[in-house]
Amino acid sequence: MASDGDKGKSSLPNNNAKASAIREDGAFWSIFAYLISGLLFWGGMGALADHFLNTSFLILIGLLIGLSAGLGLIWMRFIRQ
Amino acid sequence: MTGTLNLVGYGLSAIGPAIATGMIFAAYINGVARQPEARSILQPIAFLGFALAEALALFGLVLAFVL
Amino acid sequence: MSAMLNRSGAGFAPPSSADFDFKPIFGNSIFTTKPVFLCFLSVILIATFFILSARKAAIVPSRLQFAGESVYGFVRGTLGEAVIGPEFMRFVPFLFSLFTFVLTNNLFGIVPFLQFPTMSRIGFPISITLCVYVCYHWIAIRKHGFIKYMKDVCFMPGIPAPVYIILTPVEFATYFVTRPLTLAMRLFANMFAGHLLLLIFTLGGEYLLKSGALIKIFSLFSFTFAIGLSFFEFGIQCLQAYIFTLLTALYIAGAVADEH
Repeated sequence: MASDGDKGKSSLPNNNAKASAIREDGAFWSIFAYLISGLLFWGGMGALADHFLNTSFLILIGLLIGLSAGLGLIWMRFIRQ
Repeated sequence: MTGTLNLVGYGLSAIGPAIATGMIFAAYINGVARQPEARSILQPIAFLGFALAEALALFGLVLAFVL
Repeated sequence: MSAMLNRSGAGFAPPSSADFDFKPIFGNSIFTTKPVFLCFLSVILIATFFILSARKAAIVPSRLQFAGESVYGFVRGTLGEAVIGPEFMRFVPFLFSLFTFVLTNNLFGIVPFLQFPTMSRIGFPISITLCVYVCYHWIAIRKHGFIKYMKDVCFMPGIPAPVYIILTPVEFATYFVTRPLTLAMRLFANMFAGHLLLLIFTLGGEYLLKSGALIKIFSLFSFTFAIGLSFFEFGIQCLQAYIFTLLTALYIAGAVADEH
């Protein structure tokens, strides 16, 4: 808990470090969300395609596309700066 | 008791990414604690490692349900 | 194995998701069950506590005022100012009520005689997540305009055009489906699993206590574990309330930021 004594001083570097640590925390959850939505969306597309075309390999291709899309977005949003 | 062995397999396979994530963060925290100004260099590397380990875990989860 | 024991007669019935369904206390409506009353109770408790702590505000704070102010200072400093930036003051009331509401409802899980975290019914996390969802999209649309916001969310600059076919649906799904979904699911799953864990140890201890003389001793271990895990759960409950509010603040910060 932030004590009230700290608030008056509010030394800038300390506050900045805290803020960037908190943003990092959010970034990890965002990475998780990107991976999940990539897999779910393109995997779901693959499953639908499988269902209508009576094949069984398209879901695997969909999952791989989703995985690479998620990783690509993470690369662009968080790693390449 | 009924169920599918896929989930047992997924449980076993999740051990790997779990240990990997722990080691990535341990190394990252160590690095930042030793040299706080290196954070901006270490951060993308930690993100990349976390994303790859997590990707494998999620891929396993999806395959456990699909196969 | 437990199912086999059950079939053979008097065995230990492990707690299941059926333990989370409550009969209406009166009448025949789903709005008179225990979680709903706990939800109302939490609102009354929060209002009473903060009205009492702020009523006689003095420069030298009383103990109650100090408690109220340190919660407020925590939300305002760590979750508001550090995350959202210069415009944070507009969102502090929202973040503060969110944090106290989730925290109180989570803590009901280990309060004796109440002993049910309201957030382990999926409806409660979903409804507060809906508030957050509407809030941060509304802020972003007000700030950037609908078309520019959609363009910001779905199209990253600096990518060759054909790649957008693959990336845009994923971005859209992340912003509009996965983020709110994980926000609600994380809170729900933590509270559900925590309550189930406590139930297993208390019900197991009770069952052991009812069986033979020598086995009665082992119920002591089970109850000790239940008490120890209650403290562990206390940590989880505070942490989940913090994470929920932190992620809300981060989403709002993303909405008020100039570019994504």
